Parts: sequence; C-alpha cells; structure tokens
Amino acid sequence: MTLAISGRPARAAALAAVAARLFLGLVVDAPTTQNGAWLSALIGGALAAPWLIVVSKFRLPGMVFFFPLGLWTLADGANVLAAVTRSAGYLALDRSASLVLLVPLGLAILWCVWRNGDAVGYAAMIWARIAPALLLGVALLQWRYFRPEWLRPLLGEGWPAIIEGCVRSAGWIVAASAVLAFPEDDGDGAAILPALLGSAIAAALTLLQFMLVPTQAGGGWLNRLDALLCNGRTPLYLQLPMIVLWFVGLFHLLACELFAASACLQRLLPKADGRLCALFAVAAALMLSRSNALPARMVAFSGWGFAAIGTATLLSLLTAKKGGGRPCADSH
Amino acid sequence: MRRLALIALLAGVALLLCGCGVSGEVENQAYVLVLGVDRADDGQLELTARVPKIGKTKAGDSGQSGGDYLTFSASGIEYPQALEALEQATPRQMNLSHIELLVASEALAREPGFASLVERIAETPHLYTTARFVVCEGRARDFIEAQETAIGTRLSSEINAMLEHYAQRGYIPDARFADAHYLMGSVYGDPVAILGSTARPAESPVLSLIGPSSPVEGISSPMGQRFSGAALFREGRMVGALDARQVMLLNLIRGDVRAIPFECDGRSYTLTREGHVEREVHFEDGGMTLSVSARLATLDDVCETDAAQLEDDLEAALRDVIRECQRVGAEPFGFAERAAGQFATLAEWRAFDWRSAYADARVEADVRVGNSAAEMIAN
Repeated sequence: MTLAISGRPARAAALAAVAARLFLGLVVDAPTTQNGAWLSALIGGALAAPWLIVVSKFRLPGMVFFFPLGLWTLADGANVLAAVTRSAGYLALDRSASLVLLVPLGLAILWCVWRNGDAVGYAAMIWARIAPALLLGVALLQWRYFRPEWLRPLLGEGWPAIIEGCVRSAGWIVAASAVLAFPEDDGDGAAILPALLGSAIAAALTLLQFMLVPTQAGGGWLNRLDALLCNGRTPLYLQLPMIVLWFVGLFHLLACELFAASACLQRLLPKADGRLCALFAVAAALMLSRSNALPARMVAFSGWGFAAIGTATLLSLLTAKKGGGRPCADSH
Repeated sequence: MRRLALIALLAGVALLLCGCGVSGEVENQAYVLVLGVDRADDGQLELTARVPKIGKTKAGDSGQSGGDYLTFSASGIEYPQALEALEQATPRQMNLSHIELLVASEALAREPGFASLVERIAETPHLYTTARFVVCEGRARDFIEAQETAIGTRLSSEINAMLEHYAQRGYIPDARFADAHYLMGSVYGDPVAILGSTARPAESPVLSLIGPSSPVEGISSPMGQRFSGAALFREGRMVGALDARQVMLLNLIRGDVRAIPFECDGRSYTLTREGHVEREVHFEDGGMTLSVSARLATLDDVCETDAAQLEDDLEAALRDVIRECQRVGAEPFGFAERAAGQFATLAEWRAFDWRSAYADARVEADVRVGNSAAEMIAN
C-alpha cells in the first residue's frame, strides 16, 4: 500500500490540523507572545507560505527532503500525543496509567492511517463542518464574559516575542500541513489556501481565548489548559462541547502528523508497505511521547525545525533543478 | 458479516477510548459543596468541607439542615498536607468537581502569602474553579457550619439561588474563584470576593443597607449567614472591604447590574442602566484622570429639580466609592485594563507605575438621569 492523499481531503486535513496546532502552540504550549499571538499566527502563515507552495506544486526527491520532514512530523506528533495524555490526566483520568489511554488512541490513529490518506482527510472534512457549530454554541453561551479590553496591549510582549512566535508557528504549520507533500497521481492538486486559512482561524481563536482570561504573569501548562477548558465562567454543561472540541481537534492533528511521518518513512524505504511504516511511526510516537522533556524541547526547537525543513526543501529543489536527481514534476 | 464484525470492533475500541481504569460510583464519592480555608490557632492551615449525605432522608426531614449534610475538618502545615489530612478525615473519595462555594477567613485573606495559597488551591486536580469566592469574618469553619437550607431542599441549589439573587440586586459582586485566581496573577486590576458573616447585620461593621434611613436593625431572617458587601484585594491579599451600598455602585460601574435602588433626599428610586457605563482613563499634565459616565433612567416620578439632586448625589457616591478603593490601593473597576490599552506592549505597561498613578488619580463622574415614564409618554 502506498500512502498518499488526494487533493480535496488533503486541503481539509491541512486546514483542521494547522488551526489546531497553532492554537495548541500559541495558547497552551508556549504563550510567550501573550496578546500578540494572533499576529504570530498570521505572520507565521505568511512565512510558511513559500514552503507550502513548493510542497504542493512539486514532487521533491528523496532523502534530503523526506528524512528531516519525517523526523519533524514524528517528533511533533509525539508532542501532540503528550498533550492529549496530559489533557486526559487533567480532566479525569489521572488515576489511570497513561498507557491505558495511549494504546487505544494509538490503535485508533493506526487504523485511520491504514485506511490511507483519504480516510484521514475526509474525517477532517467532516470535523471541519462540525467544529464551527460547536464553537459557535460555546462562544454564544459565553458571549457576555468576553472582555475585549483584555486583548490590549495588542502587541503583547512586543515584536521580538512576536517574531519568535511566528517562526515557531511556521515550524508547527510545516508539521501540520505535511500531508500536502503526498498527493495521489490523479489528485487534483493541493492548494495552499486552506493551510493559510487554518492559521487565520487559529489567530481568531487565540483572540477569543485571550478575551476570556486576563493576560497572566505566570502559570504552567495545566494552568493554561484549565483556563481553556474551565475558565471560571464555564458551567459544567458547557465543558463537554469544549472538551470535545479540544480532544477531537487534537485527534485530527495527530492523525495528519502521523500519516505524514508514515508517508515520509515509506518514501525513504519505497519497498516497505505503508501499513508497516504506519505501525512503526505510531509506535515511535508512542514511545517518544512518554519522555517528560519532549514538550519543552519541542517548543525550543520549533523555530529551528522550520529553518531545517526550509533548508532541506530548498536543497531538494535545487538538486532536482540541476538534474542531480529526478526532475521536479508538477503534480498536476 | 464483515460489517457486523467492524461494528463490534469499533464498539470495543470505544470502550477502551475512555481510558477509565477505575469507575467512580456516586455512593463512593464525597461531593464537597463548600470548602473552607482557615488559619488554625496553632498556625496550621485548616480545611473544612461540607458534604451532603447520599440516600434517603427520614420522613419529614426533607429540607431540614444538619441531618443531610456533614462537615469535615483537618489541618496541615501547608495546603497539600491539609488536603491530604482532609482526605483521611473524609470516609469516601473526596470529589471537588461540584464545589459551589470556596470560603476563606478574613484573617487568612489578609496574610501576605494568600495569593500563592489561591494558586495552590486552583491547581488542585478537578476542583471546580467556577465556584463563588467568599471571604468571611471570623472562622471559615464556623461560617460553613452555620450553613443551612431555608427555602430550598438542597444546599447546592440554595447557595446558587441565594447568591444569584444577591448579585442581581447588587449587594454582592458575582465573584468566582477562578476570576480571583486569574486577576491575582494578571497584569491588570485586582479581584474582589463576596463578603460573608455569621454575625447578625447589626453586629457586623461592614454590613449596611441601601441608605441611612434603612437601618440594619430592621432585618429579621432565620438564616445563620449573611452575604453582603465585597472584600477588596491588592497584590493578592485583602486590603479592605466595601459595604452593600458601595458594592451596588461598584457593580454599576463594572456593568454587572442592570438596576440599583438609590436613596436621595429621603426618597427611594430604582435606577436602570441605559447602555454601558463608560469608564475612561485620561493621561494629562503628568497626571491621570479616572472618569465614569452613566446614563440612567427611573420609572419613578422625578421632577427636574429632583433629577439634578439625584445626579449630584449619585456622582458624589460614585466618586466616593472610587476614592475608597484608591485609598486602600485596590482597583476592582476595570480602569487598569483601559489604561493598559493605551500602551503598545506589555513591557511598556509593566514599566509604567500604574499603582502610584492610580492612587493619585483625579476622579470624575458624570451621571444623567432620565425619566423613563415621562419619555415613554412623550414617545
């Protein structure tokens, strides 16, 4: 089985995954920009746009491109898996071993990837239609608690933090939209607009979140998750849709990233079966996610991740243009 | 056949997805409705939990207090130890996800380390931070033990209904524990808490009613607790209190109430807010001005002379309540976030000495009172 995804599902998958990844990164993982997070998401989208154009228009050859991309998506997928585990621990499952949660989740992801890219993409397409309705319901029920004053100062921690945040965002966008690099032969091409729309949606979501909770001086990861899922104004009945939004959003992100990691592995080992690659990628992500140091390292490395993938993409493009490898072929 | 097998497999996976290792039976849980925090006489931290009994009550007992609820207390050197001790004292798994009220004694709230205690409490797994936040005079344990159901049959709905009623009337702020926690760590203003007391109104210095002609001695109620007024915080600790009348004005400025009763020249009026109450911060000549502007309407008969007097009195009352908060250094009105909006970045805002500027700021109030009845007839 060759792991690939056709154009329409790829676009839906990129949209859902980019929105979820940027929101997770800018609000919960590393809110260093504070009120300026919306700018980081938008500029990060613009920064990642050239990479998105290259991967959606050309088929880049071999090791130089797929090895770093595979590593990056795998590591980021493991980080998302760790976020899911910590979220579950925060909610109700802290009396269960994390393995009890992780193994069924891994099996569900594995099953998705085994059904190939279109299963991942069409699932995201369904989610992209349900999530706005849930979000609208949550926003309307909390409408009177939104405080636009808390969005100011609009630049948050200032330009240096915003620039750092947008380079990180670009790294997260690369990992979340890597599905665009594996189009099917007869696919109708994967436009970059949905991925960029994902970053605009993430920017809007950060604004909504920062209107609910005043800019904080400190607080840890769980503190920020608490501010997101139970922000002191949320009645118990509202927590269910918010939790569904959070977990299902992360599930689709995870499916996209681990599909991309599996597909990268298959491009590196063309004779390997896609199912075997998926099994390896999911198992590796499960093991990596159990490292306590991973989330902090992924935040520190996310900007560098974008630089590394960008350089690898450029090198692949140049190699192919010079005829050193297979010629760049328009995917259409 | 294949489809059936797939459905069975998916159903099996769905059972695993919940990740539950141990199920939590209702009868195995002690649902804490009220959690109190005190400084005990020996200097330790004392936690008190009010827990409902689960199961049938005796005939005729329904609605009676005491028999349906249990109170557990335990102490520890710090919060984690006290919580652990409370777990030991409670004969079931303590469940904090349905807390309605979090009560701290005034003495504890005035301690310098209170903000870090609030943070520790907020970080307690599964604690429902949307609970209302009360600071009580005297001991939190006594306050909680005085809790009883008067009109309702369940304490949880009794607490909710009572505090919603008081908040709608404006006697108390609609203060949630999470809000206090977030604002104590935020770059903007200060939180407030509901002020509670077991004392009868006449005995309590912070409890008063609408105006001087409504003496507190006139109140008669079977309730053992009183909720009236607000505790003011600055930099994470309690620094002062507002009485019920001042809290009504605070709620009016914050836009938390729609209507307030107000007494002027021996007459009582009900004033309804028309639109938002504008709060602005102006920087000029090296100083700062805090201004409040409100448009109110009344259904009561009010002539032009009365309206002018009402406006003057209300403006003076608004200035007084802001000055009282300036005096103790607390900023519960939302001026800080408006001032912060005039800075480009948080670093610039932090570099600005807001506390000093706020304490020295001039206060302006502009109130216009229209007569709704006259306007309705005119229209």
